[in-house]
Amino acid sequence: MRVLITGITGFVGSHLAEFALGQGAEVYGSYRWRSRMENIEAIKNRLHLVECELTDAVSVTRMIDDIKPDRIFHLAAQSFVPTSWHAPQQTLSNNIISQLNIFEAIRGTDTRIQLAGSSEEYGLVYPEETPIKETNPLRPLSPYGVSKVTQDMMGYQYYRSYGIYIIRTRAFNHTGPRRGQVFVTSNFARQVAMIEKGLQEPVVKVGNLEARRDYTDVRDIIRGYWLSLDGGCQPGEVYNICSGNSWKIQAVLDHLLSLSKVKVKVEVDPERLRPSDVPILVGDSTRFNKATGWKPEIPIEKTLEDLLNYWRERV
Amino acid sequence: MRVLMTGASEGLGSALAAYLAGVIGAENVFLTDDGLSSAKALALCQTAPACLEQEEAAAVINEIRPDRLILMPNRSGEDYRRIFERNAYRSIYFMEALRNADFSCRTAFVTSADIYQPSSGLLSEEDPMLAPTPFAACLIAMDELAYLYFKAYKLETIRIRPFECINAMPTAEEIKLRSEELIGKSAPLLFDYISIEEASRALWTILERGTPGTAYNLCSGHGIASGAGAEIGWVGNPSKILELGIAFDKFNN
Repeated sequence: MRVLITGITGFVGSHLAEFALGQGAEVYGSYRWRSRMENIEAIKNRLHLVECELTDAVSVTRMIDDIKPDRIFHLAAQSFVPTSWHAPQQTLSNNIISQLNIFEAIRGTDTRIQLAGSSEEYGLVYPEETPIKETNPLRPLSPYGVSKVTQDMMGYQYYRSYGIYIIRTRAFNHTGPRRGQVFVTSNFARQVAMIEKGLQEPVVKVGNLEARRDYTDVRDIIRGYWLSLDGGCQPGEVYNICSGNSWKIQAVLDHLLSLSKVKVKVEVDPERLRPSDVPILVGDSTRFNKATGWKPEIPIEKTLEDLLNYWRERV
Repeated sequence: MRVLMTGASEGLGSALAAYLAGVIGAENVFLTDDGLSSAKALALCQTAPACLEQEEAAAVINEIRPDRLILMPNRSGEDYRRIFERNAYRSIYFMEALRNADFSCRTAFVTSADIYQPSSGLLSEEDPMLAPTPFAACLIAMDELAYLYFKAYKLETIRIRPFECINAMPTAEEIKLRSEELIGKSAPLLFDYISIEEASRALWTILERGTPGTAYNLCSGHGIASGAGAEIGWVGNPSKILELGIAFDKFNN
């Protein structure tokens, strides 16, 4: 089976590539000339890497024609929420047009494609709406969230208009080794590792610690992505992928600190606060569980420990 | 009172431009000219640049200093790129310009009932959105951007979702094409028709009296079947606009 992973050099893409290799797939991945390769260094020689600018239709069509993938996992995106505030139009344009080019390139083929949506699409959720089902109104609170809603809607539209085998997924927060340091769990873990080695004064800079998030280990999430194209899911339909358990960001920080012997001071950095933030995101993945049998297997405590150890080896 | 408006193409956009020219004076109505605007509307009102770039949009906002901005959807074929440029991206340019402006401007994000899934009951503003067409996907993006800029920056945005705005009852062929566009086949559906003239007045009333951050269905609440056996369609719940004193006469019986 030929599998194409866009964004293969990223956090999720690299984990999915490892998993796909383990499943015996022939794994192709798109990258840009400026992509950092450290996440796939260990498996690079087993992958087929293709340089491709996804916002360029010619580049995408050529790549798809050459590879003729059976399955595509579309992970590439401008996925960092704070950046989307600084570059809202670019975030929308990049995420929407990249996906459009892929859809156009696979029209008329049998290629199956999984779209990596996000819980950020739900945005503002009222307490009585949790755990969030797929039918919940979408009220995104960031330009990134708006871009993901639009990608999601385009996915439905291309399924309906052209019969493309599209599975729309909305993964809630996921973390684990290789998570970029700009994301909160990884950022905290890295700060703790830096403090342990005396590379940072014993002050952990934080943003909003009150927000609650539904965390799942990235290795569970990518297993879900893989299963989504195995036939149990209904093409055109949307599926939440999440643990159903909520963690306050404060609790994430507390757990990471409990794994270390360092004594630290916690300081709020106004730069880390967003113009508007989502207070609570807890999902209901019953629909996906029933369709695929998927369930998260790695407890978040283990995930945070692995993440901290990842940074201990790198700072 | 100065109004800047995009998407004054034939139909609701140009009718609204003409209505506003009568209400606040044609010298105070500025229409962006992006090649799709109605020649008649442009001749009647003032012309502004297309604003398809951030810098141009900011310059126009700072020069005109509008009290009201009306972002009408602009349909330019089925080319996704063009649709997003003229609607979603341009909305962002305007919002970013207003965010940095030293004056306030109430903005209407006008989309369409196409963003809802068809229903056997009355569609409320909280019903889930789903895009059957590329245009609808872009309209959903616009709608979400309006909400986002209100929540994040307290910009006075109001979301308005007109149902079927018409000059005359559509022909059988027009109904067939509309049905194919919306559900992929020709089948009897329920539609909520409003005359374009009445919709223009109602749209302005919503912008003036509505609550920022809120979405409003611009609808009558009366479904008209396009054929025998119609069970589902796009008929809106008008309760929010009724509170603003809006009611319709034509096409309701």
